[in-house]
Amino acid sequence: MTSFMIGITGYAVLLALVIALAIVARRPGVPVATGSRLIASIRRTRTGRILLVLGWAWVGWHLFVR
Amino acid sequence: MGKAQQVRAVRTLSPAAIAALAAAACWAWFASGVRTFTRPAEVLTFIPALAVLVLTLRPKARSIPILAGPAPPWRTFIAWIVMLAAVVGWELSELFSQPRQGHPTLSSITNTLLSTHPSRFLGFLAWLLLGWLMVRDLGPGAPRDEQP
Repeated sequence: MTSFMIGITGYAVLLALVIALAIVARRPGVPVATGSRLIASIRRTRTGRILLVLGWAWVGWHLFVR
Repeated sequence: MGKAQQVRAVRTLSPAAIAALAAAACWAWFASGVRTFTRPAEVLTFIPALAVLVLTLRPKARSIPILAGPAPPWRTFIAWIVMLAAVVGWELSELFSQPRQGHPTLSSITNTLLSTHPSRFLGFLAWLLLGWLMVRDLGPGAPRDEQP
């Protein structure tokens, strides 16, 4: 297996873990916040909202401009 | 808004919403068709970003009631923090590995995924949608923010 494939596999595993965590978090009684609750918690304050928007803007700039 | 109301709202889009959606799609099509590292790319990406930032910064922007409820215990976020650390760690590991071509990063993967106009259009549209989701529930009538 080449280093490139190992890298891709690593990202695929992490993506699968994120999806699994999001699914598990929706089950009642599991002490893990759901993805929407996580985002909502970040957005509770004005600072959190601004940081989230700046992160979103950076992603757009990085992907579509640079 | 209840779930039934939300479903009804989605099914019956107002003319203004349809016009906004069409405008966003047109914007995304043109923005995804220009070359990177050019002035048009900068302008077409900067304007929506600025619009979302202004809507977030306006003094009357308040969060919806669901955001103003009691905060969940911080320990419920640990799994997400660990996951974020794992992604950042893997990304940095790949970024600083040699040879560069042999180690993909999130940027190189997304560049490949967004290399055609249709895929780039969908990516830009998704980015615009995320921006809209961040401001759609901010309004002057909602309760005040929680103090950090």
